[in-house]
Amino acid sequence: MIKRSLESLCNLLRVLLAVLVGALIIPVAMQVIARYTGIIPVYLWTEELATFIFVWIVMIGSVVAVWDGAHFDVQVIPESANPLLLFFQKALVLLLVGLFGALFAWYGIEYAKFGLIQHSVMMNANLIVTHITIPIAGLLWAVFCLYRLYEAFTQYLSTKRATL
Amino acid sequence: MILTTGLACSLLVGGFILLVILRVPVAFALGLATIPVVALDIRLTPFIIIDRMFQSYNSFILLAVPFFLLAANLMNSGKITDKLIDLARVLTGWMPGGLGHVNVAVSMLFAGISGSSTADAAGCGKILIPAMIKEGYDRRFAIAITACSSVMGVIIPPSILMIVWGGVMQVSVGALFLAGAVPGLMIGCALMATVYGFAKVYNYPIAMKPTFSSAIKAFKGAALAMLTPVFVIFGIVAGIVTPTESAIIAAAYSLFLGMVVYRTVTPREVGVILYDTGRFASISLFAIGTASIFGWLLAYYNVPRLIIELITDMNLSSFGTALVIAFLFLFFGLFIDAIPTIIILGTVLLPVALQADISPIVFAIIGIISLAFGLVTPPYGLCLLISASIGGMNVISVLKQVAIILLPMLLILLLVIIFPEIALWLPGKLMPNSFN
Repeated sequence: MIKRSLESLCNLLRVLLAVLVGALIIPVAMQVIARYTGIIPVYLWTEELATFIFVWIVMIGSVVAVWDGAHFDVQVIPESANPLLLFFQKALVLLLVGLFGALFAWYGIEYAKFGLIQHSVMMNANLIVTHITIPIAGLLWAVFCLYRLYEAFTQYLSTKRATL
Repeated sequence: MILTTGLACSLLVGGFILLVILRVPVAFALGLATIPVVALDIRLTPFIIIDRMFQSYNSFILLAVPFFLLAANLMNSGKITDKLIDLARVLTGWMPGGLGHVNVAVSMLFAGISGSSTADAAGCGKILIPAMIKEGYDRRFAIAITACSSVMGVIIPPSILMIVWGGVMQVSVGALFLAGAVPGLMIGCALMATVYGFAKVYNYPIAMKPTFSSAIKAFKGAALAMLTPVFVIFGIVAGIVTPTESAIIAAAYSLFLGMVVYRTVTPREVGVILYDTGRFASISLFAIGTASIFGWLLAYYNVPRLIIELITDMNLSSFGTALVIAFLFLFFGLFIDAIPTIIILGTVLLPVALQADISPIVFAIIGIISLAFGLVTPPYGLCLLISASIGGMNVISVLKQVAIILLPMLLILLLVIIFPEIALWLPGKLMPNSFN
């Protein structure tokens, strides 16, 4: 049930990510078209909008990559054959990333509030639209890591049962 | 309390190394390593750190990264890579070790369009590694040459790393593109010479003897794709388009070729390509944020100044300093992705290079070539991991071949250090105003 909900949430984020990459093309393409063809006027807000979309892409992509375990890590020492050691290693990594997420979510709220009292130069948009990505991403990293930690634990238990 | 430089540096660097050993993803390890420093030093707050990270994404030039990746993904999905391979076959397939040469040549062509080494390794490797194995090439050689040739993606313009470098260190991206061209071509030639040596020793066959009609067909097939570097590189160098605009033109053009001209990309596939692009780009770009806070803290505690003093005390010549710089980039490139390394190490070493009278452009090219080696060396050699996975072998099994192929490439790096004119000649001729 929880896994299905989180997977659905992640699928929604995947769709949103694809849509945002597609959407990113529009303001930058408008700049190019305006500058070189004159078909449309030069809109100054396009650069700002592109940067806003870019921030969302980076943050959503980082969340999806946490769920998929796709952030790059480096295997310096060989993986332990001992299931308990392997579980501890995985658990420690997930706890640390989850801690980073929790701190981001907590302090990100203050940052989002700071965005709330600011406006962008060109579009006069309230900057909460981008600053809010910080606590959202932090919260989702933490939640996804917690669930992956639970999965790692159940996997360890089933491995242990199988070896007995 | 107020942390001393030594303590802050130990906490940052030591913490980062420990976290990487524990297999914490590099992007998060960079961020996590800053927590003890921020917690202990009363002058720092989490707000400052989050703001630093957030501001690093507020860069229009970085938008070029997803667009160049999009262009590369569209090329791979739209069978444009196949057209480039056909052209490379005609151009180089007649030499002993034909498919090895084709592998190198197609990487050079691909590098001229996409700017992404990993996309090159994945796109070309999928076709050429099985083809080479089928024609009797040693599997390990097929994997190694695919991985090593793909590094030209970030050296031959356009290059994602050069765009990031230019954006972070305020160097003309156009001048960097031009500076990378000659060393990139030299590395291509060095790789072909190595393939020739392997072919002679192991008696590898030629791929094909091109006929006039096959040559015309291959040139016609790849001609439209080969127009991309023309408007990307010349557009930037001539100051007509910005790197970000050139990237979107490349992506739009690749989409046009895939959907309209070759009709190999369906609207449904576009969605998948957009998602893949967003996911891969965001993994690299997210690390920019955490690397920025790590790098900013190093600068806050005056670490760059200490390194300058350390190297000045060593009384090194420009050549010696350049060697040290190359070594540091090579070493860090083994463990960290190229983009965060540029942000952390590049910004720390730039003043060192300037102090030693090394041109910022030569410094950039030395850094980028050195980091390119990191793409094929374990434990963090992404291109090697991709190629080994396609070839169905463990990375460790192909290290000997990789080491042999890397030797002539290292020689080219050494030549660039000894003769910086190799990098400076082209920008000096075409963009003399971009540097002094």
